[in-house]
Formats: sequence, C-alpha cells, structure tokens
Amino acid sequence: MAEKLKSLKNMSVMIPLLLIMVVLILIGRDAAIAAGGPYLNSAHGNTSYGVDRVGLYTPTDFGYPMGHCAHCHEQHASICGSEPPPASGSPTAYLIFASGTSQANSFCFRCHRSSTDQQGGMPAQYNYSRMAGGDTTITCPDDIKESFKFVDTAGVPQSNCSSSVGSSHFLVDIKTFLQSKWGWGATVNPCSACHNPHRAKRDPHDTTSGRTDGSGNLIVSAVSRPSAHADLTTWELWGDSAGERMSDYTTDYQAPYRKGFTDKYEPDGSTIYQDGRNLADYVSLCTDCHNSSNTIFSTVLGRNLKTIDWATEVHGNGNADTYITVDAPYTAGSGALGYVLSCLDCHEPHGSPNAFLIREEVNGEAVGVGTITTFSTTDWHLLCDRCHKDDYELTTSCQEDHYYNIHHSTTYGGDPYYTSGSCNSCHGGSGGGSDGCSADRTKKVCTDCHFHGSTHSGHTTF
Amino acid sequence: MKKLFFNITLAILIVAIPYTLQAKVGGLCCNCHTMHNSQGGDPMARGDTGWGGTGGSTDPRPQLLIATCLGCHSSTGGSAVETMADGSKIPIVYNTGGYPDPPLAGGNFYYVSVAGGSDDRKGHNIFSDNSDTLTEAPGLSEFPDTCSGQTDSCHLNLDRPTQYGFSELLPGIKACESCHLHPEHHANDHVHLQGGKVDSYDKGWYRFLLPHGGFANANVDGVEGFEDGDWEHSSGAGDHNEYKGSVVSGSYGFTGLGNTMTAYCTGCHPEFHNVQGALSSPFKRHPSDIVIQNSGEYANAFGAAGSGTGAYDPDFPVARSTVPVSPSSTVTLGSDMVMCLSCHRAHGSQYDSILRWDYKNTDLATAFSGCNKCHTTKN
Repeated sequence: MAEKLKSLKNMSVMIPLLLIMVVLILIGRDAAIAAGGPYLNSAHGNTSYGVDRVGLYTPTDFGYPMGHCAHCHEQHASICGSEPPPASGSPTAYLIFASGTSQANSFCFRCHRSSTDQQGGMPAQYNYSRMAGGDTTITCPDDIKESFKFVDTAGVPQSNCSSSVGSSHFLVDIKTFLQSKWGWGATVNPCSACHNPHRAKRDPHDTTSGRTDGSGNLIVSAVSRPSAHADLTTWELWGDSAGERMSDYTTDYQAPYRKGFTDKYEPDGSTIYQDGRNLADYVSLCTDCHNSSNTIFSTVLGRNLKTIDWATEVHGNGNADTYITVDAPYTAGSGALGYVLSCLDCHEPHGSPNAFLIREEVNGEAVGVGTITTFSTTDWHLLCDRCHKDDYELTTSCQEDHYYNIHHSTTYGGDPYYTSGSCNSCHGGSGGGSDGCSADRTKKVCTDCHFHGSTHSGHTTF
Repeated sequence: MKKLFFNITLAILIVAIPYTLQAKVGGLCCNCHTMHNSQGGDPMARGDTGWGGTGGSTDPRPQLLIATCLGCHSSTGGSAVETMADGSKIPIVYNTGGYPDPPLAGGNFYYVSVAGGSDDRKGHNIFSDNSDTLTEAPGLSEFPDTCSGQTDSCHLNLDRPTQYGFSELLPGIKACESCHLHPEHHANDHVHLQGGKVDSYDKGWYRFLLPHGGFANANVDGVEGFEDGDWEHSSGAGDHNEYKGSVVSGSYGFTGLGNTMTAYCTGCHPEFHNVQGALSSPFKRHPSDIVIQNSGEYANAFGAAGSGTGAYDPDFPVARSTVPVSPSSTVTLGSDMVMCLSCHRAHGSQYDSILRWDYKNTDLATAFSGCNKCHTTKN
C-alpha cells in the first residue's frame, strides 16, 4: 500500500511536470514558427548580415534595424520629408532607392560591389570556382558586380581580373529574353531572373553552417527558377527542398573534387556526399532558358546561343556510345557512360575570366585565367582534360593534351566509326592507318566536334 | 377638423423635433457656448487648456465658444473620451499626460507635443510651442501647384496660418482647422454616439473634412465615410469607421480622386498618390487607394487564407468603393483598398511617420507586423 501511495505521489508530481513540458514544447514550436517567414529567413532579411543601407545611417540615423525593408524600399520615395542618400532624382519602380538594370549599374550592385552602400561593407563574394570548387587562390572577382565586369555595357569583353577575354551573363540580353519569353515588365531587373531578393539565402558552401539537413540534403539556396516567376509573391527558392536537388534530377551525378583534394567534393567540401543531394538542381534552373527550344540572342557572341538538350546530350542524360577514360572521381570503364553533369561543373553562373563562362577551376584543378579565349581555341583541352584523360595520362610515351587514344584506340573505348586509314580527312597530310598517339599530325580542336547540340554522323557528340 | 389638423401637426413636431436635435452634436448649449462670457462677474470661457487643466486665456471667443478646439478635445486625464455632466461625450485627441490606451481612430497628439517630447515624426504638428522638423508637407517638394499655383506648402507648418489665400476658408486657418476646415458640429448627420454614414455637406462631411476650395465647392467636395459612434474608442471587426476609396491612376485632391480620404490627404501630400505609378505593380511609391488583390500573397491578407474574405481590423483599416451604411466586419479582397490611413494615423501615434505599428522595432517580425497584413510572405 505504501508503495502504491508513493507511486501515486510520484505521479501527482510527474503529471504536472509532463504537462508543463508539453506546453513548453508547444510554445517553443509556435515560437519557432513565428520566428520568421521567407523574408526574415532570407539573406537580405537577416538581422546579423542583412540589408543595412549606409544612407539610412549617415548623415541621419533613421533608426531602421538591419534587414529592414526600408534599406531597399522607400515607401514614398522619401523618408522624413526628404530623400536619403543615394538620391536618385525620381521615384523608382518597386519603391527601390535607386534605378538601374544594366551591366554596369544594376540596382543590386549598389550593395554587391566593392564601394558598397552596405554599412560596414560587404564580405567578399567570390566566384563558384572558389566557393564550390574550393580554389582559395582565386581572389578576383570578389564581388558580384566584378563578376559581371568581364564584358562592358556593349557586351564586349574587357580587361578584368587579369583577363581580357572573359565573359559574363549579359544583363541586357537577359532582360530582353525575360520580356519576350515570359512577358516580364519593362522595369524588371535581370538579376531577378534567377534570384528572388525576398527569399534568397546565403550559401556558405561549407559543411559547418547548416546548409544541409542531417542527411546531407541541401536546405538553403540563393536561386529561384525564372519559369516559376509568374507570381512574385509565391516565387519559391529552388534547390532547398525535395525534388529540387541535383540528386533528384538524376541518380547519375558525381560531384567533382574540390581543389587540392581527392576526398572532398563540391559544392561544400563534404567528404561523404557526392550524389548531388547537397547541390541545387542547376540543370532544371539553367534549362528554363538554355534549352532546345528557346532562341536566345547573345550580344556578346553576336549570334544566337547554341541550343541545349540536356535530355539527350551525353554530358546530360544521354549516354555515350562507348565508354571513355575519365579522371577520378569519375569511374573509368563502362560505368562512365551514364554520368550527368551539373551546368555549374563547368560554367560560372555570373562571369568568368574565360570565354563562355568557363570556370577557372574544374574538378579539383585549375583551368586557368584567360585560357579559354574563343570557340575555336586549341586550348579547350585545358577544360576537357579536367575530366577526360589525354594520351599522356594513359601512356607516358604519348603526347600531352592529345586525345588519340580516346578517339581511336579500342583499348580505351575508342570511337568505332572512324575508318582506319583515313586520318587525313581530319588531320591533314595523306592517308594514314598506322599512326599512333605520337603522330605529329595536326591536332583537332575539341570544339570542332564537341559543343552543346553537336552531332556527327548521327551520333551525339557532346 | 381644425382641431384634428392642429393635433396631427403637433404630433409630427413632437416626434420630429427631438430627432432633429439629436442628429447634431448632443448635450446642452452651455457645454460649448456662453452668451456673454460672464457669470457673476467671472468669465465662462474655460481657458485654452484640456479637461482637468487650468490656465489659459478666458477671453471671449468666436461663435461664443467657451474654448478652442484643443480646449475641448484635450485632457489631462488618461482617457480618450471625456464625459460631461449631462452625459455628452467628447472625443479627446490630445492627452497631455500620456498616450491613451486605447486612442481614438485618429490617434493622439501626445508625442508631438512638448509634454510628449516634441517628436515631430509622431504626429501632425499642430503645436506652436514645440520644435519643427519639417519645413513643409512631405510629398510636395516636386509638386509645384497645389495651393494657388505656389511652389511651397500652403502651411509651412500646421501651427501657422496658410501662406496663401485661395478661398474664403483658408485665411488665418491653422492647427486643427487646417484639416477640419469648417467644424460643422451642428450638421445634420447622425445621433450622438450612434454613428452613421456621412456623405454630404449637409451632414458636415466625414469628420468635417471639407475642401480647401471654399464653400462654393463644399456641396460637392468633401470626405465620405461612416463615422463610428464613439470614434473607435471601443472598436472591433464590426465596430469602426468606414472610409471611401477610389482607384484612380495618378491625380490628387477631390477633383481627381472623388470624395475619398486619400483625396483629402493628397491636398497636402499630392505626390504620394499622383506619382505612385500605374494601377498595378511596379509602383513607384507605396500605393494608396489600390485594390488589395485576391491573388498571390495577398490572397492571405487579413487572414483570408484564400477565401477572398478577411477579417476587418480597425487597427489597419481599408477603404471601400462604396461606403456602407453600417460597418462591415470583413475585408473583401479584390475590391477593398489599401489607403493612407491603412498605415498612418491622422493625428499622431507612438511611432515615426505617424504609423500604426512600430515599423522600426528591432524585432523585425514586430516591425513588419503591419506590412504583413497584406504582404503575407514578406515575414
């Protein structure tokens, strides 16, 4: 009986405690829910590093806390009866404090530049080769505006970050395309093709700051899809949820190495996850525009962009006819047939010191600055070689930066449709048939046959 | 027959006269007026001070009034409503001892007064004894022609008379009368404390908000609205003022916008509507008198949750294209409008820009709480 009473007494203490715990948990849950919505959880709405315009602090401190709407939007094109710096002269669409959508003066560049309007300055914003690729030797560009400075306002490459042959997404063309494709308004800022300023989150590209969940899945993203932009107010981030990651796009993704490592992978240096679960599905994002049906004129190139059908290209969902030799972490042999790449495995999203936004670091090693100069340069091997073994890598008696073995040797999965004895049809000279990997025939340029949308004799060659 | 006619006439008068009297300001004449400003040798004028206070001039006043506007509509007490001996109620818009809780719909001038710290950002500054931050009304600097074609504000400050003539109503007008241009306390509007729809000069227009154009326009121009019986001292979803709005691209004033509250505000702040952009996004200024859409994030405005109908919140009022005869407890998305008073109090508030909520709170969830009534994903 005494035990029973003691038990009841314990229960009389425990039950209220349990109830209190339940209430506290519920309160905590509600507090968490109320803690912030999409904007307050965004980079711009962050109270530690969000928007914080200099002009609202000096010469007058208007008292708006960091992350506040007023740092970008002036409700009545003025504050306290006058316009704080920078004074732009007239009210601007979306109530923003300055106008500008061009390559040189996009509104976003007011803060995302070196001479920033952000109080205390902006932290360095490096390119994808450094952030995801891990190449810490890259120090330029270190802000977003600089990434777009590889071409001038006319779309002509200009000297920037030690390169005069660089490339950038040309904002005027993007704006034109957005308007023609989806009917975006005349005042649209082309940066918003891929970024929702009210939702975009900072992506630290590391494994320590909560960019992934407990299973390694990406839960932060800076990008949103232009095709989903129809309703601005419900325009979600892309990549931070199930169905939006590279591992959802394909089961055949293999993350490239990070610079200088063979046990750390893009995009965050994980030593565990390599299947794209920690990477946004950039293929779906990019192919909203760069697909097989859209015609996109490039002022920079002076022509329409080549179309991309990632469903069939062999770097995409299509399979090569035969396996070829590849560099780690990609697996050589027949297993190499099915890899599906992310666009950002080779391309910078904003701008690059190379042509065609080719990254200066790919799969753990440098491609170089200003090395890919034109479509027809012989130096494309610097990119291709990051994943495809050249002759020297396969046999040291062969030549570097040549791909005889891949193309002609059945040992390494050589292309079957080249007819023996007809070397001269591609490499000049006469006849052929007995040449090997050390032959001094004229080397073909990679892009003679391999580029987005390329085919040869009915075969997909890219 | 003559006797019957007399009795019928008398009955009609008996029935009609009290209603006629009640349809104006209530209470005894001597609550507000004095015939000779003298009783037993002492002045009857109360002195230009709030209820509960002392001092101030007891000189005779125009219209035989015993006090100025603020003399009647301010108080040293904490309530936003004063009750007179005969039960008549007086709305208090300036509590000298602190901001009242609750305030009336227009807010309270406390914080802009010397007693409240002379914070010029927290009220329309009707006081002459405090500091001035602004040199003219915001929303006018780029706008050269609102007052007799002059480039300056009609008032350099509301505590000073208008600089320009323009109409018989304006010369010498200042302070409260800068907006309540012709206080028609005896207008034929509605029963004291019961509220009603006011849509004509005969009814005094809404809260005596008449045009600057003078009496010639007074029958046409003025603010329409439903006047809550206790000035929203008590309020709820079905207990509040109602405001008229009208979707017009550009323009300002009654001529441009009709009998709306926004039209009235743009008399001094014309750019805030005239240069706000088109009728849909992108706007160049936060729009006023623009329909709150029943789509996107706005489909959840005022708790509508996609139903198209939200709950009316008197702390964040909306405008209707037609003023209802009684307060509506709902916000109809797709037709009701955001307007100046959706965000701002008319008289004063605890917050900068006379806002209805603490837009500068360091807790951004609090700072955006007003915005989030409509911008439901900007939280």
